[in-house]
Amino acid sequence: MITAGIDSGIKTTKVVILNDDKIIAQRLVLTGWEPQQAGESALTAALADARLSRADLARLVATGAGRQAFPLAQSNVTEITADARALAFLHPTVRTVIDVGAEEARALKCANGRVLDFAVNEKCAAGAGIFLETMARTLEVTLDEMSALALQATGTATLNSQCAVFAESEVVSLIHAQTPIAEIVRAAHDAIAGRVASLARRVGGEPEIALVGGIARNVGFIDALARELGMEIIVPRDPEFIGALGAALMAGDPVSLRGAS
Amino acid sequence: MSERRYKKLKTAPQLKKLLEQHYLAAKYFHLGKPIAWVTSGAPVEIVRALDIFPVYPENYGALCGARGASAAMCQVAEARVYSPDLCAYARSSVGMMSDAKHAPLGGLPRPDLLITCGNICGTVLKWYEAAARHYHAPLFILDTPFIHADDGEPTAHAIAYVAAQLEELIAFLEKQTRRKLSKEKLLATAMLSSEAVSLWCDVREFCRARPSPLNAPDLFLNMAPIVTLRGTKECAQFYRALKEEIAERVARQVSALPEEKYRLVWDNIAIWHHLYRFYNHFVDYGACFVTDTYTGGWAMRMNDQGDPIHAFARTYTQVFLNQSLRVRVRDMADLITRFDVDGFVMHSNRSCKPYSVGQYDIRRIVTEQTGKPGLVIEADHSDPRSYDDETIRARIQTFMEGLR
Amino acid sequence: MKNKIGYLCTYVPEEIIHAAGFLPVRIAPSTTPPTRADAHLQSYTCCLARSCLDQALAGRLNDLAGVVFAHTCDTMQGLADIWRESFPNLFVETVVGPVALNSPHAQKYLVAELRRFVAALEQHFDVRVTEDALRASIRIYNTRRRALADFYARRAEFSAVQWFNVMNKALTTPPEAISDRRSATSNQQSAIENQKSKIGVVLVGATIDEPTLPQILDDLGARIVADDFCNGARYFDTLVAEEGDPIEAIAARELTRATCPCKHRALDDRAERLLKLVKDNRADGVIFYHKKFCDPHAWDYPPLAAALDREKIPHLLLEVEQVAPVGQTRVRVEAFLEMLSEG
Repeated sequence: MITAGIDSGIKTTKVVILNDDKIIAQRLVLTGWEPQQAGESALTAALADARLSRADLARLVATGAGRQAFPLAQSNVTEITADARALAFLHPTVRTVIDVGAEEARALKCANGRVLDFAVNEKCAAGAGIFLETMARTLEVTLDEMSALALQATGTATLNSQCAVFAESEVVSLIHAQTPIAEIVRAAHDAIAGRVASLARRVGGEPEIALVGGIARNVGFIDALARELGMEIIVPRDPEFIGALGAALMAGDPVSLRGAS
Repeated sequence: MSERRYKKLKTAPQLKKLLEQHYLAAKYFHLGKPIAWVTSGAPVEIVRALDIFPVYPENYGALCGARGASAAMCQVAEARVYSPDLCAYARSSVGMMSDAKHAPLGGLPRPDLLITCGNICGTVLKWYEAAARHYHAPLFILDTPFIHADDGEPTAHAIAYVAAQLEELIAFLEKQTRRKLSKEKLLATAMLSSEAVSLWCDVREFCRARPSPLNAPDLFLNMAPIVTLRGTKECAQFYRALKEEIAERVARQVSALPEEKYRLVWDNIAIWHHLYRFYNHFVDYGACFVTDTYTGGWAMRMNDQGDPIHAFARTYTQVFLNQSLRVRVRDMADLITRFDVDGFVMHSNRSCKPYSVGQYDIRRIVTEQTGKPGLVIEADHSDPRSYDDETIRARIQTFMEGLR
Repeated sequence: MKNKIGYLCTYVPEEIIHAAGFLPVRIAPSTTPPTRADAHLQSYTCCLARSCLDQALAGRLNDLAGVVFAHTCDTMQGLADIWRESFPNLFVETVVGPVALNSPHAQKYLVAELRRFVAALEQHFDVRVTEDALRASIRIYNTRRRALADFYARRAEFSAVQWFNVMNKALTTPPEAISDRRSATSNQQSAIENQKSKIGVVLVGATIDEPTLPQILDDLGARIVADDFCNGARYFDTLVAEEGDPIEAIAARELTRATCPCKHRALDDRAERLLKLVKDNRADGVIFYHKKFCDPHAWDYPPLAAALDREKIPHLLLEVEQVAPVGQTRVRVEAFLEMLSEG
């Protein structure tokens, strides 16, 4: 059976196509201003990659911030539920999943593909991907450069503000105090890692722990999180596709999903 | 405001009329009775027995929230350098004191007396101090020491302290009103209060039925008289009618929701500014809040053994918000068992620290003890600026996906 | 055996803890952002609660035999219970003192509550708190309070950072170590150049726990002429009577010392005290150093600001999360001081 999952995020839209349990195509596009259009084009492209047409698609499940925007989808689930399902498929021994998106960080406790508990960062806590982007802009470096810089730091600068705007002005103060840039970058990573770790602790934080979402490509952040939690972090292959993969898997699950009407 | 999507009560018009009359009377027809601003946990029976007209700024705060006026009123206070992190009931009230242009019903009537009782929070002390400064009205502080004991029992010296202050309160009110408190009238008021409380307890207990005859917004709206009119004939009368209607619903197995699939417990004060919209997100899944910790707070039965002043002292000191985390865990676990629910939802309320601080631990322990999952949602009881519907809907969806 | 008992608020009766054979030490927020406390406390609680609990959860307070709370605000009330759940084997007690300090029944109640606390200590640690031990502890703590008051009287000779160091050290060291001004200031050298600074400010707030603001004041040549901090002048401004029943005397001090905004003595006593501090010390202005999410101080700010406005005394509000951000704070303080020197 051919199923698809579509993860409509704030920044990027991801599609995964499955043939039963086998990933046959995946695509990522920028969401832009038209989530529905982005979803359409990602889906079309992925289907083309797999040499399939819409008619071959048995079921489609949507997830992500824009999950309700797809009339094509038979149902929708939240990213949290989708993450748990995908991790059960990829790494069944994982008990805690951390997902850091552009504007939201989440931690969930799971077993057998089901969410047992979850926690999400509170609205103004500077604990999400956008915080790093703000810092990168202030420091005039790219995200990739930041990731590498964080590993070079030796000092112990800290950022205290819970608010991204205030943290930015703290960074400016550190720049003025001539703190090495690597140290500031590490402080920014540590600040997010601290908040994300506390979310993981809120759900128990049992090993094994997996990190998913775009931030899981950032080695500086993985290092900060591993130090903070004092344990190894599992990063699945293609971490940004986990939500879409979970949705695609759920599209093939026999239990019908009941989304909000 | 969104529409409710579940059955309306026949007694609803009666409730509306009762509250309208109360606010009208407070404003225009209190017939020369002095007006006292009192907190929701103050011993109002003593106030009523002395023919003082009590009004409830907290209830008014809820009303402002429900009518969508809180944000504008809060902004008036914030412009007068009150921090936006303070309780929105109190903040909107302080805003109203200096400028009532955004205040529903033209604002609360000016107080002749202020009576604040700390059994619900520390904010009411500061709020009433602000009112006392603004209106130059005499302030009485009833200090009810917090109970950290696991069994929820106040110490003997705490009871003696509260009882001594109650005597002092009576003397204070007698002096202010130049009246003498009649013990008969106090007892009669206490009886009426007990009767209404007892009827309210019965109504809440009816919701153990499957399907539940009431959902959370019904409980929130129908608790207003037990807070604001406790100790009056009209209040007891209303709850007699309500009880009759709910008994009938239970007998005929009438459900509050179109179809009850899940049963939940609610913790903390209502989200007044999105009352129907918020709870409809649960109605979408067939989830009914069959009981809650909030409206049960005013379902404490008067301990009537021995001296009435000691009974008042004990009852008002033992109010649930004056109790430790362990007592809160015990009460929540008890509701989960008795009402046979599938899970619980906790409103982490930025405006109400005593109710919210500790919720994460309560949630963890209650789940350990009962096996039922709990969801924490961050919002505010009356400031809509702390409410994000999209985020909240996603949390609810995840939680409900986990319950299936 | 562990011999220290921690506390967060100076309403905790340290004499009683000391008389039971323990060293009471103040637990203060650190400068490290919390990462463990967030699992227990919402983001809208103050850094005092969050950072102190965080240190305990990180195992940095493992040398404490207990933690004692004084009932003050809604957050501390919740924190005491959370602490008890997090450390089930630790001695965690709350002294629930009166809020209505002006109640004629407050003294009697507080005495009974303090005796309950004594009994709880005795029972948990299997010790005896004798009257003689209480009297001795009262004398030791009075001596320390007098030494700090004496240091305070001569604070013009010291910099703001030195003031900060002396006050913060005082509440974590054995009380016998500070018996006079010299021992209070121990290795602090007088900062003579500081005498010349012209602008004097009064600081107001819950607690001050890190030296960013004092450092900025020093850099800009301003002096702290008085304060209204829980861990500042409010700590030593009133002594315990050394005669009569010691518990009665400890209770009497708690009811008469400078009021914390969590308590009530009179509607305007904090404003009157603040105006007196400004006048007596010829201060040029007032800096409110408030913790974000501290309700009681936030509530008192509008009436205190209004009282200062009526007397035409300039004031500045700094709201700090945990560590004052240097750049931002400096700009504000500098602009304020410029305003004072022009006025």
